[in-house]
Amino acid sequence: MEAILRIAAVYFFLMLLLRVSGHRTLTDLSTFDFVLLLVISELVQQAVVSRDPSLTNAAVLCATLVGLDIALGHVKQRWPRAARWVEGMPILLVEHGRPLAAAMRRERIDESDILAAARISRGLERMDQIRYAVLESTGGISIVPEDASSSARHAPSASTTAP
Amino acid sequence: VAARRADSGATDPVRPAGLHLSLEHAGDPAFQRRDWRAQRAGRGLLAAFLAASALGVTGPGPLSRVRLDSPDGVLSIRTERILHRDAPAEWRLAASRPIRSIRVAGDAVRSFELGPLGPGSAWRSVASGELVLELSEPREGELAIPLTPRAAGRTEARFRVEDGPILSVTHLVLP
Repeated sequence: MEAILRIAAVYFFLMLLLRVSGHRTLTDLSTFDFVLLLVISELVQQAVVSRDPSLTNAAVLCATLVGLDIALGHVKQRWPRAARWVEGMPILLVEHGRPLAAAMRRERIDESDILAAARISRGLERMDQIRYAVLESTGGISIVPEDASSSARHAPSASTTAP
Repeated sequence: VAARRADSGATDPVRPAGLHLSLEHAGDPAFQRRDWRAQRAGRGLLAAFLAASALGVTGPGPLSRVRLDSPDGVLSIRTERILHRDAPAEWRLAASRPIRSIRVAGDAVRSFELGPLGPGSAWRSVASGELVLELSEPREGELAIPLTPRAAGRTEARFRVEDGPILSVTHLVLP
């Protein structure tokens, strides 16, 4: 029982921590972010496993994590408002080639991130070729090119890439 | 064939109407339904496993806790029946009168690592598969004996205070 409560507390705390840190924490893995994640996982491992390294304890902890994830998925499906709080919402960053500075500043994204996403996902070269750039709740940037209506006949309307 | 597929697709949750005709997709609705059924059953099993774990079927918890009292009322033991290998646990012994020693026998002597109890107290081996805990001075009240199971399986521990009756507790040590 203690192990279940312990892992549930860690799960919700990490969820809150990552939610507070913004959309980009898990997709924009710089060297520093990678080290940060490694350190967090090591600290969490010690806190969760505590003094019980048994196989049974590991099975219970894994089952608890998967169970929480499934339960949260049901909650998000049933109450969309909860989903907005848990995952956040997609945020418009560029509209018809015009960067939306306030949204970009709040999400710590600059034009080079958007142009990189545009190059990688759509092969675009300039900001004015972007109709919409959207920071998805998963942390990736979706690019809709200005000529999306014509390209949609051959490809999905937008593609997402991590910034 | 395309029209028949379109008709079936309109009512089929696996292949939404208007999508599957142009999509190169090796879908198998019958298999998908079986897969979803298996997932639902798996989630039910997962929920049952978690509920059982929370209650103490797979480790420490309300169902795992046990309290045994000796018929003469001198000794009582509180512990968890379900233990995990290599995870610290304890026997909590309570004596209603001052005692100098406790005799422990059974498989637990071999498969549990028994911890120290403070200065002056010591474990002494008196026979094969039997230990005596000798206390530095006569003690009354609760006494916690730390232990760490080192082997998985069913393990029995028998306790006896001097010439009193034997109290026996059986643990299940999970790997």
